[in-house]
Amino acid sequence: MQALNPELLQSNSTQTDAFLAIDNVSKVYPTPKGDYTVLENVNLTISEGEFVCLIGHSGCGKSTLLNMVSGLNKPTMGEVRLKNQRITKPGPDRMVVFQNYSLLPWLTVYENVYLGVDEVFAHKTPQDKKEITEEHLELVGLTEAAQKKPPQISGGMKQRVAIARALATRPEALILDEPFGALDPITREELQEELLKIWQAHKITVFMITHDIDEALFLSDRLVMMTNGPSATIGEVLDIPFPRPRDRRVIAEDPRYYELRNEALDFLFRRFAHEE
Amino acid sequence: MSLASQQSPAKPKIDIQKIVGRNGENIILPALGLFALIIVWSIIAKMTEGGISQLPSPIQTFQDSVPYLQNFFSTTQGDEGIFFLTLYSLLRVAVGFAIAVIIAVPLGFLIGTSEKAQKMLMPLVQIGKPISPLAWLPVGIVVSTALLTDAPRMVAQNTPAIFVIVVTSLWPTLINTALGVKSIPQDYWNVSKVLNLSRSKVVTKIMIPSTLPYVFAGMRLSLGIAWLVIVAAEMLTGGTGIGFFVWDTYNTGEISLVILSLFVIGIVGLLLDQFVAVIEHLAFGKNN
Repeated sequence: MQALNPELLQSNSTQTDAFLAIDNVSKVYPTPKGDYTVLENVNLTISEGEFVCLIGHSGCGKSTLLNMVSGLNKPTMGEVRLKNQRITKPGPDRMVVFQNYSLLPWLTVYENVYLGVDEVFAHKTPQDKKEITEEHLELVGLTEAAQKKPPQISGGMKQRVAIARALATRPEALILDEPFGALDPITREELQEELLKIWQAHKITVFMITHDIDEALFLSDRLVMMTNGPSATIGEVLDIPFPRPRDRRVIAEDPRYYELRNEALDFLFRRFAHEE
Repeated sequence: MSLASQQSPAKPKIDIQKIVGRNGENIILPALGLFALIIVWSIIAKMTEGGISQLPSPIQTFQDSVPYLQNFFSTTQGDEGIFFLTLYSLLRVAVGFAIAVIIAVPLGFLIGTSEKAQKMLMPLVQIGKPISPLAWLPVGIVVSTALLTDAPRMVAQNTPAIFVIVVTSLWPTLINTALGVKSIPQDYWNVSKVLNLSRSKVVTKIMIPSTLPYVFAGMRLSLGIAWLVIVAAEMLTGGTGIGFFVWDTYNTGEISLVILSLFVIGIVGLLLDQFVAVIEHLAFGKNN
């Protein structure tokens, strides 16, 4: 499996000034029946400001890999580094947006965002922290809903709150675990476009899991495709060359769009089709 | 379909709602239930009539209860009205329940959060839970007699019953609190780690709000059982209280008053449960 596209992986992992480096990472879980290898020899480097999408069948260890970048999980072998610092635990420099929003339902929208701001900017005055919170609620268009509680708002709004909460602590990397998977298609497209705007305005590095090839082609600079588990690893990395700012309709007319789409489909549904 | 249409004209349908309206049904049906109880009660009373021990009929019970109920608020020592007897029982439950909650909630949090505490304490909980709380009464009497020799009579007298209520109320609240902490979704823990929340924020913003519904459910169970047990405990300890009254009136042969107190105990128990439900609603109403 490591023999797949060796030159492509090589060219990436030789960069020494990588912003985010996943270096020869393996994850093994001990089970009563013996060790179970989820991920094996994963190598990936991401440059500062890059937008990288990760795609693969369910159960291939995408979330495990993401959790090792966020610091919620640790590699069994190898290491993940951010700006040459080994990642051992979660930190305010890497914020996560979870698929199921993970908002605290007993706090208002405002309080959910303020919670992180208050912790990360503990030295700032309450007035400053209030301004930071309000600024980020405005960024995702939720100023009016600030005093509502999560059960009172729609799924799209919840995910906006989660994005605001993550961005409000001014992280250097934004990590998204299938953030739009549970949303209806129209809301999903809206949020994709908002995410791109925020990414461009904040010059933030984004690492995002998706199940949606079109979403990945619209959003990312590179699309990382994973082989199936156990012992999953990176099978192929596609460069997405479309100029930015991107327009969904323009991209759809680009002949390269279909080449890339077919390449990804071929990878996912022929070369690494899911057995089940 | 065809079966139903064939049958329906044959059976004249009695629609209570049509006759008395929607709320009427809520009055008539419970009244019917009560009426059925009175019938069964009357039949059994009739059957015991003329025997050595007799069950008073509903009418007899009512007639015997009226003079006593006129004495409702009496505070005469040894002849307290039923209001004060009930109040004594409620006070014991309140004190015992409060002590139990103060012990059970922190312990539940400890068991829920610490693997070691769980290993250390869960076997004790599992053994303690199935013990009838009344079996603790002798222990309570021995300990309180030994430790409270110089305490005022008022304290020493009430301690054994209160001790039993503490033991009774402990388990449901303790177990539910621990379960509540264990049931905090992994998502919330992930959020707390990613946002790097301080220990105090994790407790106040995540653990307590997330566990509170479980704690309340446990407290509601505890209080319900405590009210069941206080009556039995007072039957054994004597002195004052509605449980003592049941036993005392039985011994003096005033069976009508025994039945009266059964009604009082039932109604107070219902009100207690409703009281906790209202508090629960107030606590979570603002969260939804």
